[in-house]
Formats: sequence, C-alpha cells, structure tokens
Amino acid sequence: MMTYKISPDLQLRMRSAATTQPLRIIVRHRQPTAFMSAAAHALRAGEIAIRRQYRLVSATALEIPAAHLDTLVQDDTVEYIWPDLPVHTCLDVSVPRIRAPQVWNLGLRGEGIRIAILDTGIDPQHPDFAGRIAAITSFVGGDGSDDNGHGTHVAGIAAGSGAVSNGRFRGVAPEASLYVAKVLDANGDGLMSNVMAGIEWAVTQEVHVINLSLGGDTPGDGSDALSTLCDQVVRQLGIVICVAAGNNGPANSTIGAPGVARRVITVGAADDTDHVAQFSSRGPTLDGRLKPDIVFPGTGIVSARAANARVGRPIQPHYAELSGTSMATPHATGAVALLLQANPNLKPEDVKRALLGGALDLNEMPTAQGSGRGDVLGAYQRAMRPIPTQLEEADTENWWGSLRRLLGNIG
Amino acid sequence: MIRFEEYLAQMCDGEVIMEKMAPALHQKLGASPDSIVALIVRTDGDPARYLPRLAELGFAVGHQFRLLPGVSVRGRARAALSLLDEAWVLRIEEDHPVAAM
Repeated sequence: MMTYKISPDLQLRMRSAATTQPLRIIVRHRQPTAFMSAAAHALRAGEIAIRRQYRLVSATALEIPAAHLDTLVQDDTVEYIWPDLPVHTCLDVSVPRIRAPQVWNLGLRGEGIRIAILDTGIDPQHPDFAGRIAAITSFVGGDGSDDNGHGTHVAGIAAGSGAVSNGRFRGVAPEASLYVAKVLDANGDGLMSNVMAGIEWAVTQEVHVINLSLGGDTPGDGSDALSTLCDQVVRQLGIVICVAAGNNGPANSTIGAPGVARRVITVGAADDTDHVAQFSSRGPTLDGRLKPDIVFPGTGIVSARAANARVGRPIQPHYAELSGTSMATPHATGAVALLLQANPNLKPEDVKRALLGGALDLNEMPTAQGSGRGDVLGAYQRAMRPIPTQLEEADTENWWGSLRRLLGNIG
Repeated sequence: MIRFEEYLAQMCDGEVIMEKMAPALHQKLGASPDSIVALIVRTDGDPARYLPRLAELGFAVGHQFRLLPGVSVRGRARAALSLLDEAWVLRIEEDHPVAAM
C-alpha cells in the first residue's frame, strides 16, 4: 500500500479497525475534475458512500469500509487521505459560552465552595485537581479511584483547574473543593441505594452542591426513594443538587430518577450550535411536571481524563472527549458554586431561580430546553439582586415564551 | 380512618400520596416468589430497630438510611411480600439500577 498517501493518524486508526468497519475519510483529488476511477465500481456498488463534495478544495468526504481503503490509495486521481475527525467543544469553548470567565473576573472561582461529585470516582493524581480533593470514599468497593473515567471527566468540567493544559481546559469553578463518592462501578453502573448512601455521606461532609451525572432509564414521577431523598436534602438541608436529565431523547417523558425530583436542578444538553441535543431526555415527568429545568453544553466536551479511563476519546494524555447530559450537568454545578460564593445567603430555590431566569431562551420546546441554555453571568446578575418575595416577571418570561410556543403547537 | 402519622408517611414531599408497593412490583414478586430481589424499604423511623426482623425474614441488609429512614436489602420475593404486613414498613420499591449518563 502507498502509505505516503495516507495521513499518519488514519494509518493508526486502520491498524485497530476491523476490515468491515466503516471509516469516515476526506480524500483530496489531484485535479479539480478528477474523480476516483479505480473506486468507481465500489461507488456504484454502494460500498463507498459519498457524504460531501467540496468546491473550494478538490476533495470529497466519504464513508468506506476499511478493506476498501487500498482501492482508493491505488487510484491515481487520489492525492491524499485524512480521517474525517469529529469536532469537539473543549472546555475552553463551552465555559466561555456560558460566560463563566466574566464571573471569574469578579474574583469568583468557587473558592470555599464544597462540591460533591457522586460518580465513578476520580483520578486523585490528575494535576488539574491538585490540593483540592478534600475527601474520597466509595460505596461500590475500592478506594474511590476512578476505574472508568466518567467521574474524573465530570469533576474536570465542574472544577478542573486546567493545570496540565496551561488553563485551557479549565472547569467552571476551578478553585472549588471536591468531595468525591464512588457510587458507580467500573462499567459506570450502580444502584439507587448506592447513590442514596453517597448523598447521605455528602451531607455529612457539609457540601454546598451535589452533582449527579447519573440516573435510571425508567421514566418517573418523582415518588421513588432516590428522588424523594434528593428533594428532602434540598428542602430541609439547603443543599443544591444538579442532576442529569438523561440521554434517552428525543422522545417525550424520558427522564428517569432522580432527574424527575421536584427540587433538584435537572439539566439537559445543548450542542455546539445552541440547540438541544437530540439525545437529551425530554419531559414532562410522568406526573405531568415540566422538566428538564435548563440545558448546558453537553456534546463533545473535552475535560480531564483519568489514567485508567475506559470511556471517552483521548485528546491528550490528560484530557478526553465525552458527550451526554452527564457533561452538561457539571457545567450547572460549577455555575451554582460561583453563585454561592458570590452570595452565600442564597437558598436552593434562589439559586434555581437565578439560573433559570438568567438562561438564554433557545426557542425550543420547554420539555426539551427547560428555561433555556444556562448563562452564568446572567444568573450571577439575578443572584446578586435583593431576594424577591415572589417570582419576578423577568424570571418567568422564558417560561411564558416557551409555554406560548407549546400552546401554539397544540393549537 | 388512618392515623395522622400514617397519613404523613404516605405523603411524599407533601405532594404525592404513596402506596406501600406499586401494583407492578407486587405482581412481579408474586409471579416468582423464590427469586432474589434488591429492594429499598422505607421505615417509620430509625431502620436499625428493624434489622433483627429483616434478618429473621432472610434479608441481607445493605445500606441504612437516616435522612429518609430506610434500608436497602436483598432477599426472596416471598419475604418481600410478607413485609407488606409489617406496620413499620412504609414503602417497598425496587432498588433500580442507575448508570452514568
């Protein structure tokens, strides 16, 4: 094979790819008019799919079984072949999008705020958390070290310092303290009771906010034990809880426990273009309440990578890319940490009101976007106002706009 | 008439009235009484008081919860159904799996 025609990273991928596995590639042709003569048969047979043809450069995006790559390489009209790599939203994109740096500039980076991450654990050696992991425990065996990678990624979004990347992949609240409970095993699975035990532990650590990037698949009404415990912790103990809506969209009523709990902040995912991600679970809950509450960036997020990570696409040795409402949720958790540092007197309902009121309306269904895409600066401005005695009109306008659209669609 | 305490116990967050066991779970347990099930049992106070009774019924107790009094247990479906007759049991539900999102 004429390997000089193939980019090194594609060669690397080919070594691990099965011959039948489809590869997405971009082929550059020698002349603008040239087209793959040798590959014409495979094209006609439908074995190679043309995904896009470009005009400004003489190139074509294709999907091709790995075994057919040699055919293309032999084609004289083919000059070079690259892998068609997915693009991703690094924390250096998603965090500015939600306008967290504007709040950092006010001296607010989460210092003094205790964030609990209940997940697959954390890589305690990751430099982005150096000196800020206050406690680690496990409810599924082991010592709380992350043998999956999900928890470390989530923690990096909420509170990673970005030290290894010179601050590029910095989380939303990079100076907050982390309290980590491993409640999911190496496969990212667990039981509701483990999560409940983790919440009780987090309460004893006197955390300010709990991140739950997890949930069940079964749509719920919020009366289950886990959701009830969450509501109780928020209402009686004043601890904010952010919960992932789930990845079972776009069908309606696909949010499970504990995302269906009344008092938690249920977080869906938005994509790079500020649309609700297709996979993001939708409301309403089974008992007819509007959820999710809000959406945050959650597609192709690059954050901290655990040394033993088995999930995520490695970007650098210390960073990986993952998508999901799990990734959106710690953006909300970090935002909550900044708000609580700004105004320690806020109650959970004040925090929720500020977040929802400050959100950017994406003009999508309320059962998909909640109040819209989270905006930390907008939330901060609301959080610093005198606490209103009732919902302010401005805080409800997104909901009204959404409701009008919903009614319009029905009517 | 139900006692006020029982009424309170049946309230979930002051908004949803609970039943002791969902009909679907009742049916599932009844269909295979010898199967082993993982459950969350909500109790009317400190669950430690009821550990001997749970052991007597053959349950292995996992976590004990204080904020929302209860226990997680594993045991026979038949034994789970017999819990319905225990006055201190407020609610029985499956300990559902959760996963990273």
